[in-house]
Amino acid sequence: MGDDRLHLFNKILTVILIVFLTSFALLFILLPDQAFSETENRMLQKKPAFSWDNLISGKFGSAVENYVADQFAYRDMWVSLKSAAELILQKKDNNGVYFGREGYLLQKPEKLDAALLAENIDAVNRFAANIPAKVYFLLAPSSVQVLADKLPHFVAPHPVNDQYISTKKLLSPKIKFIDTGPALAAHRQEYIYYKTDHHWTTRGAYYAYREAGPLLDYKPLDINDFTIEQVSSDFYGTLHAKSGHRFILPDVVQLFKPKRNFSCRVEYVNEKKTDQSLYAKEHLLQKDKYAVFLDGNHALVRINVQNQTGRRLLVVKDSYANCLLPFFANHYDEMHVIDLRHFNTSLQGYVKQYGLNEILFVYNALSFAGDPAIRKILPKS
Amino acid sequence: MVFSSLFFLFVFLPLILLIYFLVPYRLRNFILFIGSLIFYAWGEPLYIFLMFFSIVINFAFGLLIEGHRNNKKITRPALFFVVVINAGLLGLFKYYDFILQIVNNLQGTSFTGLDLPLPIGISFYTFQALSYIVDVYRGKATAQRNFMAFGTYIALFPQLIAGPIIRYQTISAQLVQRKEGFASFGTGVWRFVAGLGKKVLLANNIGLLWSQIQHIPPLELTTCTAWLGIIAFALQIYLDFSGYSDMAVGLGQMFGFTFPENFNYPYISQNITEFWRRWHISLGTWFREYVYIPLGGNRSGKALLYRNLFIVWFLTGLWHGASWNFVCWGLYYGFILALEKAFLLKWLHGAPRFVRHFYTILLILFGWVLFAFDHLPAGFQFIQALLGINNSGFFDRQTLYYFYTQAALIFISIWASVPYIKNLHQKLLKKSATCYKLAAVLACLLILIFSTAYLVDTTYNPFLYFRF
Repeated sequence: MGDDRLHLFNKILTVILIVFLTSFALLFILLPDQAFSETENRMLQKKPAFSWDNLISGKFGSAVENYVADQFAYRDMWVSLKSAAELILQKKDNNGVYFGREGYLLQKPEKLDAALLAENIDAVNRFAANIPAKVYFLLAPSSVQVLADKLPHFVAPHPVNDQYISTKKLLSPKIKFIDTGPALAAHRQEYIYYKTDHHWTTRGAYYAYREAGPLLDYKPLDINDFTIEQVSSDFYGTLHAKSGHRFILPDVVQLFKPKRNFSCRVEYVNEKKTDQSLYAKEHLLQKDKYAVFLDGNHALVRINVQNQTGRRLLVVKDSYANCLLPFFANHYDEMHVIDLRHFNTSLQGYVKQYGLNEILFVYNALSFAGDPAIRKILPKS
Repeated sequence: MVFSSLFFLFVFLPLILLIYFLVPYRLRNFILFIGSLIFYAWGEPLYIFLMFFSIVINFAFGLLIEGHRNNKKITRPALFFVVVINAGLLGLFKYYDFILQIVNNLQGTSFTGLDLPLPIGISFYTFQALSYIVDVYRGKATAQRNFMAFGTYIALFPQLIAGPIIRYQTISAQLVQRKEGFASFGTGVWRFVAGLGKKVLLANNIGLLWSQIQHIPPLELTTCTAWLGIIAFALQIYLDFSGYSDMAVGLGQMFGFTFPENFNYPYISQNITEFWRRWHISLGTWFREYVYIPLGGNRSGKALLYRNLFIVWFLTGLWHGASWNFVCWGLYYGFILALEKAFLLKWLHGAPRFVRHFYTILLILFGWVLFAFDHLPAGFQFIQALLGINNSGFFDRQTLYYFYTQAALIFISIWASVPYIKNLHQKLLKKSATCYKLAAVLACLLILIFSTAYLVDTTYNPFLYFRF
C-alpha cells in the first residue's frame, strides 16, 4: 500500500492507535487507585508487591494483569458500555443472572448438588430426632421459582420447584414444614422480591410470616397494623453487581413497623454490641442496603422483647430470615438467632444450656441445597 | 502474555513501540529480542531458559552446517543431531506423559508422568527452528551470523505463541533490513484492530455459547442445540485463531515485517483439499515442505503417496495436542484428502456449487467434534446427538432460548468469516472516497473502544491455540 492517496489514511490510523493506547495508559498511571468497587460489590486488585518468588511462579504476572484491569481508568463506564452492547445484541443472561422481564434480574440456579442436598436434609432430620423440642422448617422459595413468568422468553424451566417439593417431602414428620411457596405465589403480582437482589422484600417476608402463624401458633398482625416506612429508593443488590447489567432501575427498601408500642433489645453476642433497634440504618448509606435488617449476618444474635408471651425461639437461618425476624419479634419474648456459617460451637449444647423448646429453621431453598455449613448442626463425629 | 489483554495493549505495546522507534536502526533487533523475551517470560518465567537453549543450539548448528557445507560427513550427522534435539525437547515437554500413558495401557505398567505444564509456543518456535536448520542444510538460506537477528527470528513476540509459523527462507532478508513507516504501520493497525475485534468481541462471546452447550449431557441435548453448538465452536475456533494471526501479522507490519498469511477464509471452501489450503496455511506449508516432499510426496507411486499422506496427517493431528482425539482428527482429514485425490474431487467437479459447499462444511463440522472433545467417546455421543440418535428430541425451549439470544452474534460472526466485507473495504479504499475513509477510521476506533470495554469486564478470555 505504497499508494500516496492512502498515505493520510494510514497516518490517521497510526495516530489513533498510538493516542488511544497511550492516553489510557497515562490515565491509568495518573488516576488514584480504588480499593473497592461499589457497583460490582467487590475488592479491587491493589498494586501487587514484587518478589522473585512471585515472579518465577507467574503469580506476579497475573496479579499485574488483574491490577491493570481492575484499576483501568473509568472502569464503571467501560462496564456499562459492554452492558449496552450485550443488550443491543439481545443477550438475556450473564454470569449466572437472567435479565428478566419488567426490570427483574433473577438468579440462575447452579446445577443441583443432589448429594449435598440429601446430606443437609439428613442432618436436619437427625438433629430434630435427638432434640426434645418442637422443630419447624420455613423454606423460602427464590424469585426464579415464584416469578417464573418474569424470566426471559423460552428459558427452559428450572427444576427449582421440584427441588422445593422434594425437600419438603424428605424432611421427617417430626419437623413441621411451613410451606410459604403457595402463599408467595398467590401474591406474585406484588413487589415481593427485589429486582436487583437475590432476597425477598419485606413485603414478601410479611406474607411468609402470615402463613407461618397457624403452625407456629401465633396470631399474625394484619398488614394494616404496620406503618410502612420507605428507607431507601436506590438499592442495587447482589444480582446487579454480578450480572454486569447497568441499565436497570434500583430497588426500594421498606421497613414494616408495628403501630403499637414496641421496644426491644438486640444483642450481637460475638461482637459484644447491643442495640435498641432491629434495624442498622447506617447500612442505608452503603452499598448493601439489605444489611439494614439486623445488621446483616452474625454468628449469634439475641433479641429480647417485652411481649409477655413467655415464648422463646431458636432460629437457625440464612440471610433470608433477616427481614422476617422483625415480624416474629411481635410474638416471642426471646429469640436466639444463629447463622451456621459463622457459628462454631455445638448447637445442641446451646439448646440445652438455654432450655429452648421451639426451634425454627429459616432457609432459602437454593442456599439450603448448596450450603456446606448445615452439617455443623450435628455433633462432630 | 497474550495480545488480548489490557496489560499488553496499554502497557507493553506502547512501551515497546516507543523504545523501538526511538533507538537507532542498528539497535532495533536488540530491542525486539529483549522485548520478546520479556513478553515470553511474563507467563512462563522458567521456560524462557528452554527457549534460550533452543536458540543457542540452533544458532550454533546453523553455523556449523554452513561452515562444512561441502562435507556431508559432518553436515549429515550434525543435521540429524540437531533435529533430534529439537524433536526431543518437543517430545519431552509435550508428548512424554502421553507416550507413558500408552505404554502403561499396553504393558499394564504404571509409570507416572512428569506432569509438566506445556511451555507456551513450543510447538511453534520448534517448528521455526527446524525450518531454519533444514533450509541452511539444503542451501536455501545462508546461516544467520548475527545472534541477535537469529534470536529475534525465533522469539519474535508477534508470532511467538501462536504463529504463523514463519519459515526462515521467507523472512531472512527482513531480519537484516526492513522498512518501517506510516504505510506499513497504518496497514498494520487496521489488521491488528480487526484481529482484536474478531478475538475479543466475537470469538470469546460465541465461545460462551459453545461452552454451555458442550457441558450439557448428550442425552439431554436436542438435535438443533447440538448443531447450534458445533457451529458456535466452528466460528469460535476460526475467529479466535485467525484473529490472533491477524493481530500477529498486523504487529509484524508495525515493526516493518511482512509475515505470510495464515488463513484465507477457509469456510468458503468448495472441498476439503481447498479447506486445507485456506486453514492454518503456515502449518500446512511446513508439513508439505519438511515432511511430505522429503518423503517423496506424490511422485513415487500410489502406495507411497498414501503412506506419505498417512504420516503427514498423523503428525498434523498429533501436533495439535498430545491426545488421541487430535490424532483421529488428523487422520480423519488424511482419509478425506486421500479420497478426494483418488476420485472425489472429480465427482465434486460436476456437482452444483451449493452441494460442494454443503459437503465441505458438513465434513468440517464433524471434524470439529473430534477436535473439541478430548475424550473420544464423548465426541461420538455428541455426533449421535447431531444425527438425532439417543438425544432428547429435535428441539426444545432451550434451543429457542439459545437461538434468539445469540442470533445477532452468530450473524455477525458468520459475516466476519467470509471475505465480502474485506473485499468491499479494499474496493472502496481504492476508490479513495473521503467519506468511506472517515467511516473506516471510525469503525477502527469503535472496535478498539468496544474491545477495551469487553476486556475491562472480562469473565471469559480463553485462548484456544495456547495448548499447541
